[in-house]
Amino acid sequence: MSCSRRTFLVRLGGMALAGSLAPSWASGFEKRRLAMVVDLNRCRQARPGCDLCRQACHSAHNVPSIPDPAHEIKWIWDEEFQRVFPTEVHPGLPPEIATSSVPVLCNHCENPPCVRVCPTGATFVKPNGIVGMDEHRCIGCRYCMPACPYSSRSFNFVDPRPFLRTTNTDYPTRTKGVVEKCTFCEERLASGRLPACVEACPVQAMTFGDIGDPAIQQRLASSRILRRRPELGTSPYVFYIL
Amino acid sequence: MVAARKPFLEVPSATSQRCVRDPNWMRQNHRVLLQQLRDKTVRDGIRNEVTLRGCSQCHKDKTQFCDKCHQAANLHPDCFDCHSYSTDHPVALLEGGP
Repeated sequence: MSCSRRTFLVRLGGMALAGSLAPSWASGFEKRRLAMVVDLNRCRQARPGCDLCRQACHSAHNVPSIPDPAHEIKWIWDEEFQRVFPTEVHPGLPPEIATSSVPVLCNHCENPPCVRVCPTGATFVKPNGIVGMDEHRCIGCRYCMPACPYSSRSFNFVDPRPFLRTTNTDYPTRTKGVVEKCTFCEERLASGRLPACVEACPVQAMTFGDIGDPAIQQRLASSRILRRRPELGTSPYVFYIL
Repeated sequence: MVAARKPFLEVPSATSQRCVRDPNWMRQNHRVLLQQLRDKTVRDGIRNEVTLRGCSQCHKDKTQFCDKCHQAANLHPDCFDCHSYSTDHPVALLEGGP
């Protein structure tokens, strides 16, 4: 079979193009990408006073209650709406929303700045999109803390164990000098359970699953969706329904 | 010079299952095995293998098992600074060769 130089190069180029496109076809929604949807309307029904998501998370993961706010450790906590979504506050916003508080946690960003700055690879992205934390490798440099625009990372300035009310022996505690954060309950997912906060919510305000799951898609399709600080390009995977 | 006496480790009860690796190999290399398993669990999310909790099912007394050798050799591994050596919740152990 004869093949001119031109034909050969065209075919070679075609093959290279096909090769580079293949992974993007293969991924899409088939690839597992975990996400959470928080329905703020439902969440408000249980407020004020509901704190069950935080309690469930913090007791499951041995998160200490340190009274000094400078040393506080937080995996999931409440923040004022106007601090969470500063660009969404305007005179047209219903006052019950503007004055409400919003549960916030690690956003498990598509493009996490904490991972980019970590010098030891202690924080890393898993294939399912979870931004993982390997405390064994954390050297306590705290670069990730200012890098995270959502303040989702806490540093153990003091030994956290004296501040634990109860200890869950199924999950490790942490030591002084490491950073910790929400892990989307990776250890619970491994045994087929939902994250502790999702399970504990009395009004089912949180939905968790793959971004392609019908339950997630349905909730995202029917309402107005907010993501925290989208202008930063981090692409959070915790979605808020207004 | 007097040779140091080897510490005598607690021997698991006869009802215990076989160790996950050859006991002689484990005496020398359990550190390597635990580090590999740690990375598999934390980095790759593979959790169906041996766990520290699994060790504690047969070697019930940490002071007679981990600590005895580590003290004799003046080693200070920090595994149990964070992890608990608890025998509360039984886990299935794997049968495995070296």
